[in-house]
Amino acid sequence: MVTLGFGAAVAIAPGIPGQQLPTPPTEHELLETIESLRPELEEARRLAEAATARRRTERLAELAARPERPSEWVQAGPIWIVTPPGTAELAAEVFADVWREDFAALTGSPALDNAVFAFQWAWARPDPLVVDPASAAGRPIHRVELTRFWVGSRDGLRERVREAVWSTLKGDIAEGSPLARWLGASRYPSGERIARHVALSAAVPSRACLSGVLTGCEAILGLRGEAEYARLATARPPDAPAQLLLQALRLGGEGAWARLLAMQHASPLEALVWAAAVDTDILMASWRSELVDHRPTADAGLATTAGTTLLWALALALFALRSTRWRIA
Amino acid sequence: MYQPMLFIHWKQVRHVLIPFVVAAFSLPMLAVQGLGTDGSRAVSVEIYQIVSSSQLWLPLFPALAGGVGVVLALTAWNWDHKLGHVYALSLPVARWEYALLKMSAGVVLGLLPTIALWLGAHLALATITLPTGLTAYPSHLALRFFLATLMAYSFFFALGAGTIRTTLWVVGGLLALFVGSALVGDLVAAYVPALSEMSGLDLATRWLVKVGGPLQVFTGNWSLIDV
Repeated sequence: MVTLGFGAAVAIAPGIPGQQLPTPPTEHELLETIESLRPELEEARRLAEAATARRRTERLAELAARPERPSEWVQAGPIWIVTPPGTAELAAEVFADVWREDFAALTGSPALDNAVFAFQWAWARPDPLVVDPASAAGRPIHRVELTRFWVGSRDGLRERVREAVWSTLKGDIAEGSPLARWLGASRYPSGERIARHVALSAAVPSRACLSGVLTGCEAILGLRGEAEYARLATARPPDAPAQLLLQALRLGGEGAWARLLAMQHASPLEALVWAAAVDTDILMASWRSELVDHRPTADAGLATTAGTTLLWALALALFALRSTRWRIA
Repeated sequence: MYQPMLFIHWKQVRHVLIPFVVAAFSLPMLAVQGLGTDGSRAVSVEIYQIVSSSQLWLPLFPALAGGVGVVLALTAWNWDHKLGHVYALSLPVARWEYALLKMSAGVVLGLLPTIALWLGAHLALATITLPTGLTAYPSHLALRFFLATLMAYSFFFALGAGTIRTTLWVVGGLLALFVGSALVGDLVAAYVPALSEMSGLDLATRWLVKVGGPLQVFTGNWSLIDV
């Protein structure tokens, strides 16, 4: 009875004259609340990363204490890879593909020349590969250790390797330099994702860029000063800076990476133009044509889908023709 | 022989199929209602609104295709089961030929909602003006719709063609695949931690909807309007 009475009171409460509903927070207040939580979030993230790193170090120490497991060294371009026996050929093939298709213009990277990639691709989660310190000679080890369950295809492998090589390359750029700040946490760019982001952006410079106004492209890429960089943060696809940088290096060819590093303390646009050895307009036009070329299409994969469906329908039809309820005997 | 089969199937299904045809015709119009460039808002806002609003309706397209397929398949065998297969047995055709004629009649009837969807999509798009940067894909959508209808139809047609025992085996097998893979996955992970990332359920689901899987057509891009 008491519960019913309380329920009824709660139900009619909003209708009591004079009772004030709490005022909903304004957008500004909400943003302030979210911002006030950021330090706690950052601290939690830092602690989680530290714990993961500690666990990995402990595990590596534990593995290092065991009798050494054999490993093989292979090279693809300037990249050195250490891998368990049996996967050396695959590692060389995958890294060589990635190097040839995506990074061949990037010769002379100190970070890449100095790095060692520990590569594994196993059915079960692999233990971290123990690299003999004498062989590694103090070089930093970048791990590409994957399970077939999550990364099931060679395309998936190439994607992960590409990402690992890209993040190693970024190690050449001095932390805190304008170029590093501009690149931010850019991952290896996906042309299609960037094209979709720009096409659906609610920012005027995005429309301008798509219509061929190159200053619009410069604006969304954050190359027109700090204020524009911050103002158009949501219009900028997260990996677009990386896409422009790689485009500049392709245009610049041999020595472009070294030129870029030499200018990394200048503004990002100056550094990119210097590395590409072309005018700003040519660089921007080249990036824009990359953007347009990667425009996603709705019919991607439709032919495969149609083929697969027809095959399944045929198989099911065969079952239907064979199966019967006509068992009158 | 084919024409009577088509006619009989049509007689069986028409009362249920016509609402589906109307729904297929109307759905694209509902998806684009109130959208389009009217000049009162910035183009960038229009684009955002068009894509986000039309995408709200996307799940209904594969659902409708699945529904059409199921209805066509169940009605294909309905009168055979009701009349104890007397009509079929009285015909001078082999069993496989009879089933093939029946199946192809259903496929042809599946074209009716597909054509309705295609027409509806074209009509709906004619009422709006798309801003630069967006493209309409009515024919792709209609093709996906037909393929999804065909997939659902084939599966349930094959089930309907078989014995109750076959149907139970198939449905039971699918259930066992899902439940068993989840249980085995948990069990394996408990004893071999290195295999904890391997989930049988995930694997089974992935196989069904990824490239090569039977449900692949129900996933993918079903957009009527996209970049």
